[in-house]
Amino acid sequence: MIFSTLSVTGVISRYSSILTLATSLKVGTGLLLLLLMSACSKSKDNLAVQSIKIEIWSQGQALLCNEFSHQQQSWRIKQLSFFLSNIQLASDSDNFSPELLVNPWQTQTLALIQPELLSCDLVETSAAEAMQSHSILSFSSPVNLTKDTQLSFDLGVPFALNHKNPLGQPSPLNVPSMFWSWRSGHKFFRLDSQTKSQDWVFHLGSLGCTAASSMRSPQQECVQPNRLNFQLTKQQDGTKLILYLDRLLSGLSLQDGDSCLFQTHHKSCDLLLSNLSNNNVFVWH
Amino acid sequence: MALTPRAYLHTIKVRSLLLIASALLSCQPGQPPEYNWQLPTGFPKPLVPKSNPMSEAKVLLGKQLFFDKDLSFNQTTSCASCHQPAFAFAEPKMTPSGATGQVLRRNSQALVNVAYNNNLTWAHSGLTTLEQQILIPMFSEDPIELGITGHEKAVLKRFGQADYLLLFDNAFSGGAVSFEHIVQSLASYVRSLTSFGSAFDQYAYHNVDEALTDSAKRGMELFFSERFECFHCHGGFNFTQSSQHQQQRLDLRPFHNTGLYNTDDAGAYPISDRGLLEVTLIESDMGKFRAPSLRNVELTGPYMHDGSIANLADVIDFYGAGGRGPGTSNPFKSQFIQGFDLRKGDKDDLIAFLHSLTDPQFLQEHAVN
Repeated sequence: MIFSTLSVTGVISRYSSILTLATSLKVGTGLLLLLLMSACSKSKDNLAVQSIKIEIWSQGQALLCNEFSHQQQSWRIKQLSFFLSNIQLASDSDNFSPELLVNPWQTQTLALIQPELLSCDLVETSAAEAMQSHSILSFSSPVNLTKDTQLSFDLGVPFALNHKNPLGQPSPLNVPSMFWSWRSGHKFFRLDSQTKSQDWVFHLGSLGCTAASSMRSPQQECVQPNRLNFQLTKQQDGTKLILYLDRLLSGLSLQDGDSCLFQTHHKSCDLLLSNLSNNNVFVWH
Repeated sequence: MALTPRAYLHTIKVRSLLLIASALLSCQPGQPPEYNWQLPTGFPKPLVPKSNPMSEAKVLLGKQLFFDKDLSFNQTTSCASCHQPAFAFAEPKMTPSGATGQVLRRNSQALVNVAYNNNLTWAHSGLTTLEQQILIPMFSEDPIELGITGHEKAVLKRFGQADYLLLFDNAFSGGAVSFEHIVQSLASYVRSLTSFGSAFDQYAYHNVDEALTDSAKRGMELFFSERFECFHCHGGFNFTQSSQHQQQRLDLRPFHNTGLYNTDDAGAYPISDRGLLEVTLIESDMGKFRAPSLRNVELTGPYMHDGSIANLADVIDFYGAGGRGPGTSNPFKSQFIQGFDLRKGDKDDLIAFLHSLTDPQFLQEHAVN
């Protein structure tokens, strides 16, 4: 009985080996075909990408380090960070929200972008406060940008996530430098810049949020959410999203020290909002 | 309700199985029982170096060592001499003195929630773990604090008594009395000093509306306003941006020049203490010091790295003026220290808010009899 069981097992085992081999061959051939197809998909007709790179430009070129020129004066960026959410890609026939890769900089639905802008002064590259950076919008799986002609996103954090207790929130919704308070929510966009003798700061966020105190959340959307939506048409292959600093700061005389901290209304805020809405500050390349 | 013999037997079997299972679980190599931080619900755990995991036994040994003057070469000084529990482990004087009486140049910092600090001491970008930092008060020769250097054998010998041997044995399973183990235990004890029981915590994180007085609530609004800018440097759950925890490791802006000094109109701080610049040798790090946590700040005066501001009212005046004297125009000063106008009642309200950060539970728990 034992022998027969063994021999049956042996036959089954041999049979299953053949089956496995056949299956492997099939799978192998399938994989090969898939590989060939995916190799083809790298052609310009079928571009699948894992991420979109974010670059900061000023006066026609990408910033290589943390200085930019405005009205013949050199400014040093101390911090440049912003939230992107409600990200959608659209083709003529289709519209979908790509899922983002979850990491300390991203949840499934939003990302904190903090481009790498090292000090232009080589001596200072080891600065103790060199900030960590995140210059890409990473998807959880490859996204085919060939047919997509429109990229849209909100510059900011959705109301439902904007006013929560940061201790219960996943990263990056618990980053103190991008958070005012539970009532006011997050800074959607932050640019802190400096010359040798002056400072200029832009902190964008919601205004007119009603709650009992700074440590309580509003139950209704703020009077001025200031969560700007961008609808961008693809210019090239779609692998780059460019933020033009000079277009953002157009018409502003930073020398006046007229910073825009959205919690206390400054004149410069109106112009910055207008530039963000009308001046092609973001371009999808 | 006496059990039948069969049911009794069954109960014994189940209990035995449970015992064996729990014994097996507790015996798994590399899996010591997880340390209980006793944090209120929702508060994140700190990051702990893998090389020195937390344990109750290490904390217990560390506590014993922290208060023991035998750790100084001449048996005059303990860690607690300059980090006194009644003052949230700070010291109520401008700057402390070491075991020989040598005066140190920087104010004793409170030891509250330092487990969350990414940078330690007042201005050192390279000191990121307590294990590194503790070596300074133990072995530094200039200034001398505990003064162990040159007296290592004599100091270690004092911890060879039976009660200490038992504590070392429990903490390091048969581990010897060594400076490595002393450092690891002290670091574990200091990490265990967490404070989240203030009236502000009750209000903010436990939703108790009446936990704060009206004055403290008004002060809180000022603190978090763009007019006063306090939260830009004292932000986050720990009121300092040099904090991080298990769910937040991105945001670190630890060091700031607050405009205390400007000795040459070009931004210089007194030669006796130039802050982060001394470590990094980078010009723009002149006068930069780490923003300390404001938890229990009511008890941790005098304030600033050199203890040069006596009380909280004066600290508020200092920030209201955007610095002190020539320091207000220090070119390296943080862009968020621009000064502000105090309206009637503002200062009292701000102080009431700062007092609401005092944690009576913490003070009671660590009070020395």
